[in-house]
Amino acid sequence: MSVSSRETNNGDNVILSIKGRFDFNDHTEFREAYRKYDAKAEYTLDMSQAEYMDSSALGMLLLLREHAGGDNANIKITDCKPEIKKILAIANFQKLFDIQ
Amino acid sequence: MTSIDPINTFSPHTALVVDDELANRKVLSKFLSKLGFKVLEAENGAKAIEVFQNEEIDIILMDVMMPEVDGIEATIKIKSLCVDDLVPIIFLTALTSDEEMAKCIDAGGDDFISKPFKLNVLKAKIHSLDRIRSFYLQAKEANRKLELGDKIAKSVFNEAIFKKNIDIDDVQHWVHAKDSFNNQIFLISRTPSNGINLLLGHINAQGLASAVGALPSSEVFRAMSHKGFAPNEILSAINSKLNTLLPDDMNLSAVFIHIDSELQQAFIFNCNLPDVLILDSENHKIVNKISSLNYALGSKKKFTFDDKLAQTSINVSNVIVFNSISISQQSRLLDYDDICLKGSKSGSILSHLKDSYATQLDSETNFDNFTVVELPIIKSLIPESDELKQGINAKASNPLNYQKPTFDNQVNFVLSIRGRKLESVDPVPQLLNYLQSVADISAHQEALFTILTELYVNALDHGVLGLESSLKKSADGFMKYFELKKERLETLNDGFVNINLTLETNNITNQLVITVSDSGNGFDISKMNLEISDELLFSGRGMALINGLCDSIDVTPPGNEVIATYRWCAE
Repeated sequence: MSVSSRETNNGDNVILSIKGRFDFNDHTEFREAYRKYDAKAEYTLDMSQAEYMDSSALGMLLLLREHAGGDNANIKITDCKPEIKKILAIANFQKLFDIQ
Repeated sequence: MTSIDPINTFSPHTALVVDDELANRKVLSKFLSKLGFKVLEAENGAKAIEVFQNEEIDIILMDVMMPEVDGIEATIKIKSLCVDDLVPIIFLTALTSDEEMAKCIDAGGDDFISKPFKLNVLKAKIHSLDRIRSFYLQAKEANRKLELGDKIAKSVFNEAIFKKNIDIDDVQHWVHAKDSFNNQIFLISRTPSNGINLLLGHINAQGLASAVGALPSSEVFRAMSHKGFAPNEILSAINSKLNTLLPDDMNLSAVFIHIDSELQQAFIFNCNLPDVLILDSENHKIVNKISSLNYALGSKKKFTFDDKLAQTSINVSNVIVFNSISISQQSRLLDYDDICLKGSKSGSILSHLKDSYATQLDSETNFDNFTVVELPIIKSLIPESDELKQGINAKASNPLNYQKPTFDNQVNFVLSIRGRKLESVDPVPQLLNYLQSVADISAHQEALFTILTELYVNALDHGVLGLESSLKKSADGFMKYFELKKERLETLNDGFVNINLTLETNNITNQLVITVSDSGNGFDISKMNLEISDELLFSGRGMALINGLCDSIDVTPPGNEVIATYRWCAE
C-alpha cells in the first residue's frame, strides 16, 4: 500500500489517498500520514485506488477517528469500490464515518 | 390463402348438385367440373341427404322447389348432420320474394342466387364461400391446438408442479381460479438443514406459455432446495433461467420464504406481489409487513438478492399470510389486512377471506386467478431431527449455514508455511493467483482477499505467535501489538500455518472451501465474535468480517482450525 496526504484551505481539509492493499502491514505508514495534521481538520479518505481491505484497516480507521476527535470527528470516506463498501457496511462503519 | 385460379382450383373438392330438372343438373355439373370439382348429382332433397351421408361433400348447390323433400327441408337436415364442419349450401331459386329468401337463409343456407343466373356470378359466390370455409377450418385447427396446449399446460401444472410438493398439512392454501385451469405455482420443499422453502407465484401468461416458465422454475426450486442452496442463490438461478427462456414481457411474480429449522428466522423475498403479512395469532396484531422490494423474476438479466435484507425474526405464535394476487388488482380486495386479522381471531384466515370476498369474486369474472397461503409457524412444521451435530459448529444458530450442495468437479490446493518463512512470506497474493488460474473470480477477488487475509492473520497472530487481541484496545496498544508481532516473527523458529483451498463446481454454483489450521493451542470458541458489536474496539472484527462475507464458517476444536465456505453462482 501507499498513503499520500495533502492539505487544502490552510490545513482545514486533509486528504488521505490510499493506494493498493489497505491492511495490517500499513499501520505505521497510515498513522504517520495523519498524525502530522491538526485534530480539528476535516479529513477525506480517498479510497478510489484502494483495492483490498482487512479488519486491521478497520482498526486503523478507528484510530484516525480517535485522532480527529472521536465522536466529534469529521471524516469522509469517498469513492470506495463495492467490496470495500461491503466490508465497511458489515462493520457498521456508516454510523461512524461519512461514507460517500 | 386460396388463390383464385379458374382452372382446377377445386380439384380435390366434391360438389353436390341438387335439382329435379336434369337439364339444370347437367349445365351446373359441366360448369363445376371445369372449375375442378368432382361433381355428384341428386334429383331431390331425400336423395341429397342420402348422398351427403355417404360421401365427403365440400359444397352444395340446392334447388328450392323439388318433389318429395324440398331444398329447405333437406338443408335443415344436412346442416344438422354437420356439427363439426362448415359445408356451404347455395340456393338456386326462381323465387324472388324477400320472405322466401329469408326462409332459405333461416334453414341454414349460406347464400342464394336467383334463376336465371350468370355462371361467373355463381363462380364468384363459390369462391367467396370457399374462403369462408377455409377460415373456419383454420380457426378450428388453431382452436384444437390451443385446447391441446391448455391440456398439456393443465397436466404440467397438476402432475409436475403441484403433485411433487411435499404435503405439509399445516400449510393451507386457497386457490381462486375462474376456470379449471390454474396457472398458479405453489411449491414447498424441505432443505437439508431441516428448514422449509416455499415459493408462491404466477406467470403473467396463460395456458402453455405459463407452463413453459413454471416448469423450469419449479425444477430449479426443488433441485436447489434439496441441495441446500441459500435463498438468494435459488432466486438468482430461477431469475436467470426465466430471463433466458421467456419473452421480455413474461415473468414470474413470486414470494419466496425460507423458514429455518429453529422456527426463529425467516427469509422473505417479495418479488412484485402484495405485502406478505406476519401476524401474531395470540394478540392478533400484524407484526410485520414485507413489501415487494424486487422486480418480477425473469424481468432483468441479473438480480442481486440479499439474504441479510430478507431476514426476519419469527416465532411460534406467528402466522405468515401471503398471496399471488396481481399487484394491479390487489386494491380491489378491500380491507384485506383487516379481514386477515379478523380471520386470525376466528381461527382460519383463509376461510374468512373466502367468505368475505365470495360475492365479489363471483360477480367479477375478470379477476385473475390467485392463491392465498396461510403458513402458521408451529412445531409440527419441522420434523424432529435424529442427526447429531458433529463437532462444534460456530454458526449452529445462524440460519445462513446451509448444508453442502453436491458438486461434480473438485480441485485442491495446499500451501504450508513453516518456521522462519512465516516472517517473510505473504501467502495471500499467491493464493489469489492460484484461484485466478482455476476459476473466474474477478467479481470476488476483493472479498476473497479479505477472507484469506483475515484467516491467515488470525492463524499467524493468535495461533502461531500467541498474540492477544486485547492488546489493541488503545491507540498505543495497537502500535504495541504490531511491534510485538514483528519482534516475535524475528525470533520465530518453529510453528506452521497450513492453508487448504478446495474449489468445487457444478453447473449452478461454485464453492470455495478454505481451511486454515495452525500450530497454536486454539482459543475459546465461545468468546469468538461473529457479530459486530457497537463498541468502538480497534480489534475483534476479523471473524465477523469473514462471517459477513462467507456463506458459512466452522471452527474445529480446540480452535486451531477454521473452515470458511464461500459460494457464488456459476455463469
